Amino acid sequence: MNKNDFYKQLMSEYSFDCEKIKSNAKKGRFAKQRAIPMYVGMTAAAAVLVVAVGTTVMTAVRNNTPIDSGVVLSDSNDSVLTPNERFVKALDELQKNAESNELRDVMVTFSAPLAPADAKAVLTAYADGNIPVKKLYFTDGTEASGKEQVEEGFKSGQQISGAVVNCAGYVMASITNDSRVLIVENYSADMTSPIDTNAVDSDIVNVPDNTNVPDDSTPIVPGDESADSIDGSTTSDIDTSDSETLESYDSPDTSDVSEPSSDVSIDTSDPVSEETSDISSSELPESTDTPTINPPEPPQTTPDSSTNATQEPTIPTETQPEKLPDGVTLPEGIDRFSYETINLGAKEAFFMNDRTFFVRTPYQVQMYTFNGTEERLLTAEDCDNAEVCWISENGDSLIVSAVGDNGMRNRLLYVDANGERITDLNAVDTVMDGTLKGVGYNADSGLLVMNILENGKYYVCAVDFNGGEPDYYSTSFESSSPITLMAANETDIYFSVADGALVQIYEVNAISGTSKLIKTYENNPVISSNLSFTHGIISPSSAAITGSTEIFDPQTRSFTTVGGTDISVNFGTNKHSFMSGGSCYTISGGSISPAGGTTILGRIDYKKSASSLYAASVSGGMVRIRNSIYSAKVRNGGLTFGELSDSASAQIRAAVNGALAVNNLIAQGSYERCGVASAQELSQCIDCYYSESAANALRSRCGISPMGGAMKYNGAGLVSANVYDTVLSLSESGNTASGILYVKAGNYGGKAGYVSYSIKLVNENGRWQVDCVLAN
Amino acid sequence: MGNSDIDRYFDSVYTETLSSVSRFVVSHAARFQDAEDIIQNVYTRFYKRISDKGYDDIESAEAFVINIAKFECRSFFSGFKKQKDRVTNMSGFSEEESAALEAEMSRDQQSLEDVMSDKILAKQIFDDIIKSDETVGKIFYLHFVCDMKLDEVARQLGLNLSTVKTKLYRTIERQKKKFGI
Repeated sequence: MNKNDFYKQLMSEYSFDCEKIKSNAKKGRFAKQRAIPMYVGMTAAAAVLVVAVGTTVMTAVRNNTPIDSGVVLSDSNDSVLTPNERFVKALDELQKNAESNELRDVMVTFSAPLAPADAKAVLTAYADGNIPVKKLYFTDGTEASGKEQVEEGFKSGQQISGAVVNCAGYVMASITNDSRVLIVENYSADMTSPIDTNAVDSDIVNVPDNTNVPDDSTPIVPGDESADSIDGSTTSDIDTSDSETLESYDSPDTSDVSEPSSDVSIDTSDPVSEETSDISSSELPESTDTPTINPPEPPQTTPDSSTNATQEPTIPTETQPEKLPDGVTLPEGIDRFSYETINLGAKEAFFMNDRTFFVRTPYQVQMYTFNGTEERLLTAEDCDNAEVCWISENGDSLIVSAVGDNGMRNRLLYVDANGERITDLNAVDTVMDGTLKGVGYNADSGLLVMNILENGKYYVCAVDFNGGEPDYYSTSFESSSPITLMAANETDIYFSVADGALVQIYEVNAISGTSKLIKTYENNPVISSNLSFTHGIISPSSAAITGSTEIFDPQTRSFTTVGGTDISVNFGTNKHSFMSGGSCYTISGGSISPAGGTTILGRIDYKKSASSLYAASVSGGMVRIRNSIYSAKVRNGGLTFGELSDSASAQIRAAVNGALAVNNLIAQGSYERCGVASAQELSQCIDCYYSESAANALRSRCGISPMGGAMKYNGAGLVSANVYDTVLSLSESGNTASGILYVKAGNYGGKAGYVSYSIKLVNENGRWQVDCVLAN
Repeated sequence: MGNSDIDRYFDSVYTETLSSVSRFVVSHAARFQDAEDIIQNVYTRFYKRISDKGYDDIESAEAFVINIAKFECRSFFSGFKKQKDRVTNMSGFSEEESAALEAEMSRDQQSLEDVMSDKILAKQIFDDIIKSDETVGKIFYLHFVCDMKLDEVARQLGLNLSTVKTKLYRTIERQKKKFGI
C-alpha cells in the first residue's frame, strides 16, 4: 500500500458512516447540531473494533505486557500514592489533557457509589454511548474486567464505585464535569481500585478550570465539587502558551501579561490548608448551630440496575401519606439546565453579564448573547493568542492583549458586554516594533500602563483611557533590566526592576516621569499584580525554602505580610479582596482583615459567572452553559456555609420531599412526563403533601383550579430543588414541627453554600403535611 | 405506493448519488466536520419527501438531492463564523519538496497496512487531519476520495493551488513525523 492508497482508504472509511446515514434517514432522524462526539465519523464496525481492541489492551496491562502504542498510560506508581496525592495528580492530568485527542485508559472514581444504570449513563454521556468500558469496581471490593464481565456487571444490582474506560483526553474533563464523578485520572497498571472518596480531604477538591462547571445540584460528597480556579492574580510564572509566538516571552519571572486563564489553575490544585472559615462563621445564622448532620441518603427505591437512568426516582410508597393518582411519578430532582454550543474552538468562556458571554479562541475573541435556547454572535475580532489582562469589578468589561500581524504582542482590545462591542485600543501605535510584556489598567484613575520590550530595552508607557479614545501620556521609565508591572494609584505607577536576584520596586509618575526607589529585595521574589492593577503581590521565589507573601498597597505605599501558613494569594476582579488559605480577606489602609459574602467570593472566583442566570465553561472547544450559582437570591441574601445535618424524622422527610417534588413538577411543567394528566390529578398531588390551607394557598398562587383548565400554571418563585440537595433542621412539638429547610445553591470558594427557607409542618390524622407554601 | 417501493427507490438513489452529494457537501460546508450531519439531513429530508409525496414527479434524483444539499449547506450552522485562514502562517513548499513528497506518496510502504488495521491509530490519524483546520479535511477528502486533482480542489474550494498544496503536504509531513507513517 502506498500513501495515496492509504489516505484514500483512511478518508473513505472514517469520513462518513454511510450505513448509519441511510438507516437514520429511513427513520426520519435529522442530525443534531452539536459537537462531534468521540466516535462520530467512525464506522459502526470500527467502533466495535475499538471496543475489542480496548479489551485486548486491558488484558495486556494486567499482564504487564507491552502496551499498544495508541494507548498512553501513566508511568507513575499510583499504588503508593495517597488518595489526596492521586487526586491532585489527577487534577494535573485533567489540565494537561484538556485538549488532547489521544486515546487512553482512564480511571473514573464516582463521588458516591452508583447503581449500574446510573454508572452507565455517566460513562456514556459524553461519548455518544460508545465509550469502551474495560473494568468496573464494585463497592464490595470485587471487580469485573473484560467485555463480558463488564456487561454482566452493568446488569447486576451491585453498586459501582468506579470504572476504567478508554477515551480521548478531552473527554476526561467532560466526564469529570458530571457531579456524580469525583475525578478522572490516567489509568496505570498498578491501580487496584478507584480513589477512596472518604480519604480525600474535602479541602483539596478543587476541580481545575477546564471543568469549571458551577453546579447547583451537586450532592455533598467527600470530594465536594468546586468549580474553577480561584487564581485571579496575574502571576507571571504560569503557562498560558498555546502557540509558538508566546514562546518569545522572556523568562516567566519577567512576564506579567499572562492572564489568569483556564490554563493556570494548577497552582490552586495544591492542597489548600483550610483553617476555620471566616466566611462560614460570619455568615452562619444562629439557627445553624444545630449539630452536624449529613444530607439525607437517597431512598432505596431510587432506580436500580433495571431502571432507566433518566427516570425520576419515585417517592417511596410506604411513606406516602396519601395515594398519588395512578401512574404519577413526581420529580424529586430538577432538570439541570444544560446547553452546548457548537464547537467554537473555545479555549475559555465566561459570562460577563446576565446574558452575554465572552469566548476566547486561539484566533478570535467573541461575544455572544444567550436567550435560554440559543446563542447569537454579537461581535468578534480576529486576533491571535488573546489573553485577558484586566476585568472590571462587575465583570461586564475587560481588556485583552493579543498578537498582531507582525507576530508581536502589540494589540489591546476593550471588550464591553453592555455596549456589545469590541474596541481596538490601537496599542500598536504605542508598542510600535516592540512587544507587550505586561499590561495593567487602573479603572479608577483611567491609567492604562504597558510594559514594552523593544531591542532589549524595557519601557513603561502610560495611556489615559476612560472607555473612549485612549490618549498617549508618556514613556515614563526605561531599563535594560526586566520590568514587571505591579500596580497604579492615580497617576503613580509601581513596578519592579530585576537584576539577578536583586529586585527593586520603583514608583514613577506617569505625567512628570519622576521616579524613586521604594524597596529592594535580594532574594529574587516573584512579582505580580491583581487583575484590577490596584495591588502588587510579592511572593517568595520557587527556589526559596522559606519566605512570606507580601501585598503592596499603593495607596499607603505599605507592604503587608499575608498571615497563616498558606502563602498563596488569589485576587479576582474585586479591587481590594483576595483569597488565601480558603478564606477571604480585604486589604484596606495597609491592613488585612477577614471578609465574607458571596459577592466578594463571586468576584474572586469570577470565572464562575458574572451572570445571575447562567455560567459557562469550555469542553472540547464547545461552550457549555448551565445555571449560575450566583442567582439574585444568592447575591442578595445570605448563604449558610458549613456542615449541616438533617434532623427530620422519616415521615417528615417524606412529606417535605413530596412537597418539593410537587413544586418541581409545577416549576418544570413536566406534567406529561410525570404522568399527571389533568388539573384534578395535579391538585390531588398537592393535597398529598400540603395541608389544606397550604394546598389552597399554593393553588391560588399558581393559578391551579381543581375544576380543570389548561395545564399551564405559574410556578415562578416556588422552591424547586433536588430533594437530595436539601437539609432539614426542625424541632417537633406535638402535632406541629417547624424549622429551616436548607437548599444547596452551589459551591463557593470550595464550600457548599445553602439558601435557607422557613418551613412548618402539621400532623393531621397521623400524617405529616407541609403547612406553608415553599416559595421564595 | 408501498413502503417497500419507497425503500427500494431510496436505496437506489442513495447508492447512485452518495458520492456526488458527499462531494458537493464537503466542498460547500463551512467545516469538514459538519459534512456528515449535513449529508444525514439531506437524505432524511429526501426520504421524508418521497414518503409523503412519492417520487413520480422527480425527473433527476441527483439534481433533486443536490438541491436539498444546497439548502442544507446554507442553513446548517448559518450563524457560524468562519475562522481566520491560517495558511499564511505555513511556510511555502518548494518545487523540489513537492516532487520528493509526490514520489514518496507513490512508494509502497508495507507498514501502512498495519497502521490501517490498527483502528485506534487510524482514527487518531484521521482526527489529526480533520482537526488541522477547516479546509484540510476537505482537501484530503476531495483529493483522495473524490479523486480530484489538486487544481480542481483549489477551484472547488476557492483557494490558491499553492495554498492547497501547502496544506496537503504540510499535513502529510507533519503526520509522517507525528505518527511515523
